[in-house]
Amino acid sequence: MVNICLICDFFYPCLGGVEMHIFQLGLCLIERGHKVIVITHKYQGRSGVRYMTNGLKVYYCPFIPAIQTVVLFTYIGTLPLFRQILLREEIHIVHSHAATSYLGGELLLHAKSMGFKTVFTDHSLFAFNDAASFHVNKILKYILCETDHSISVSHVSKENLSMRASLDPREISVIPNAVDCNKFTPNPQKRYPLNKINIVVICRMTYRKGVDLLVDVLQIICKQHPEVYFIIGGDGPKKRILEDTIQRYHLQNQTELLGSVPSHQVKDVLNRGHIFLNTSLTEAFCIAIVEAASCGLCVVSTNVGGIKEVLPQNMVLYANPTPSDICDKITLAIPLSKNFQVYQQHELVKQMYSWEQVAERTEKVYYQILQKSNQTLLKRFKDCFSNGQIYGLYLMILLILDLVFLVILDILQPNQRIQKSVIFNQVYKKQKEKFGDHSFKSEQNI
Amino acid sequence: MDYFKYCPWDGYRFSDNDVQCFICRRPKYQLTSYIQEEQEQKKWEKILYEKQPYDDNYIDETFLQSVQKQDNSTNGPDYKQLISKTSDLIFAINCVVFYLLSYFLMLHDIINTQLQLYFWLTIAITCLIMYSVVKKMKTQEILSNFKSIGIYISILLLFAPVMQTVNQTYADNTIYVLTSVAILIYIFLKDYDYEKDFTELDVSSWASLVFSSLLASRLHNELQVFLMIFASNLLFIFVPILQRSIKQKYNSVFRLINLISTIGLGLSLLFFSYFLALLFFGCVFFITFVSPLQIIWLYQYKNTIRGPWDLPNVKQYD
Repeated sequence: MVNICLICDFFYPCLGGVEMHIFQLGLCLIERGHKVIVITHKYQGRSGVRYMTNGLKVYYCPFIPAIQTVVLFTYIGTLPLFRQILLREEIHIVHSHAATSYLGGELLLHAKSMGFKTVFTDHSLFAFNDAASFHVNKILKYILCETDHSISVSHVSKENLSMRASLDPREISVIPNAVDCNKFTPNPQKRYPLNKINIVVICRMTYRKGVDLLVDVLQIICKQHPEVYFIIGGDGPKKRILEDTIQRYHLQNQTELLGSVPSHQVKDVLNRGHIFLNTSLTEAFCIAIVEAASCGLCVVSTNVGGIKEVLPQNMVLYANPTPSDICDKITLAIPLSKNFQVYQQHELVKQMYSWEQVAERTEKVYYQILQKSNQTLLKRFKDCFSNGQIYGLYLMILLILDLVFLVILDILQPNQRIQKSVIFNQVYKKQKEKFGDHSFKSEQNI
Repeated sequence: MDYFKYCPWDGYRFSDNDVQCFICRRPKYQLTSYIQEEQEQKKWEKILYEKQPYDDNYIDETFLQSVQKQDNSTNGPDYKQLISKTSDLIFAINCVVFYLLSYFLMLHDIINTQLQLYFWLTIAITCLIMYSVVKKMKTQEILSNFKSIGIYISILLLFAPVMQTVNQTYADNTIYVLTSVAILIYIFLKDYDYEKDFTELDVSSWASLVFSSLLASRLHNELQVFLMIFASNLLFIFVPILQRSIKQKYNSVFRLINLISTIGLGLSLLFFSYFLALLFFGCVFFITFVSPLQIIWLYQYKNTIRGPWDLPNVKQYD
């Protein structure tokens, strides 16, 4: 049994790709007999320790998010509480998710100083030629030079990660995301409105999700195919542009804007459609198209990033990220969608992706790194210097500060005095009736 | 013996003679260090939906092949093209120098204010006529533009006394330092590629208004203040619009105007100071002929990495 600590700024009650990944991975690892805790920052109305399904213990730590649910990088501020949690829970491995989660990065560095094994999973693609990417890549390079192993969700993501952080590609495993296919099941009877070809679009209304492309596609397709009906879910800064377009070209009869769709209603929205349209400009994996394919929809997607690796050619119509090509592919998809083998597709997707497989492959990574010896302090200093002479010196100072503070904390609060926690799921498994029915049923809402 | 075609750490493309990476100095690895050597094993594919008989951290020979690095040896910028692009910067500098020269003449009463008034009005009318010809405006539009200018001039005349007193309390040194900073902001942040629409003032236009109002506060009477602000609006806001229109259709005319104005300004400066004239010509020469050579030399160090992670160019709606 391995005691694992998953860390990320992004977790429930936020519900996105990264959040679902952490949650599902945690549950499946618990099923495999490991102990899993999650550390995140507090959310409104949610602070302290919570227990979720199957005994997944979540620490909502009192770190205040600064910008877009990401905690400010304080470096030393999080150390005392984090140290106590790791020692109390007797953690073996610290696993951080998402490059933009500074809480995860900061705690990875502390975990390394404390002698734990560290793993990092990257969920996004970053370019090399804009200001935001420079800074994220620079910080990531430092954090990942200390990590024992990295995981990326696609092969393109692995190439991107190895170049951004100058990592040995042998230290990066490709373990894709998955989808709970028992939750995303097809139901053609729910297709509404009737006698129309319903095209579903569910995404955040931001630039990266290709809303500007969608605006052009909407006008062209609605004009060329009067039988088409767009069902658009999601919210964001670009939603107003869609609303303006619908107003200007009088597309109210052929479009429906749902606004923000709660996570448990996504399946119902998908089941209303024949075709799922994804216009993202960049995606490392794109869970959305897998969910749509699992619900039996014919998928039309831009072939950017790692999307091409996700589903076979017979399930997705790939288009270049131009309005004309996307419209051509939608035109091809319309006759296909009328006689689509929805249940067959669902069964195929079920065999392709499952969270149990993800947990199994992640477990292999954990066992692999547990066999490695810890890095020496000299190696860590050399890794700091590999980031550059001036920046490396600064990082060395941070590292020394970290070690000094750890020594102080060891004196003030020795390991022996920290009470170790009971392993909930072991106790739970012996006396299930006493705790009620907390078995992992995927049909249940989170 | 098969070797990697690219360095797995930084994407450097190995040539046949390389034994180590040029950038990170790591040795060129053999493929057999990584590839599982089973004869009948299924070929590795870059897919995620099938379980493959390879480890999750397996590295294939196609690793990093999607990376496109800029070939700096053949795609460098053209020297002549760069020289022609410097004309916009020279024109902006000419406008600033011309404005400062007018200010100097006015401040020291070297040229009669009335004469300056006729001069600037003539320039304004000439620019407007040129703009109307280039844009092929109808008579009604031209008359409407003249009417707008008339309204604008009367408003400016009304506000001239206020503008004279706004910054009067500041010391001369402060004014000149702030003016220098504002001029630098104007030159560095000017939209030389004409990406933005002219319906809104950008930072450089605001900077020009700032330094013109600062300088105007040092002048002696309201007419001079009016002239300076009118001249700044003409030179730094309207003339760039005219410049863009002329450049789009008659690029050679623009270049001729630029050349004549540069030589004329340089010769004018000779009357005041040989040093200033030399400095002006030196700057123009450096920007026009020396800077492009520097850019071409620096281009060999440009390191652009492109791959499937780059965002495609998509028309954005605001």
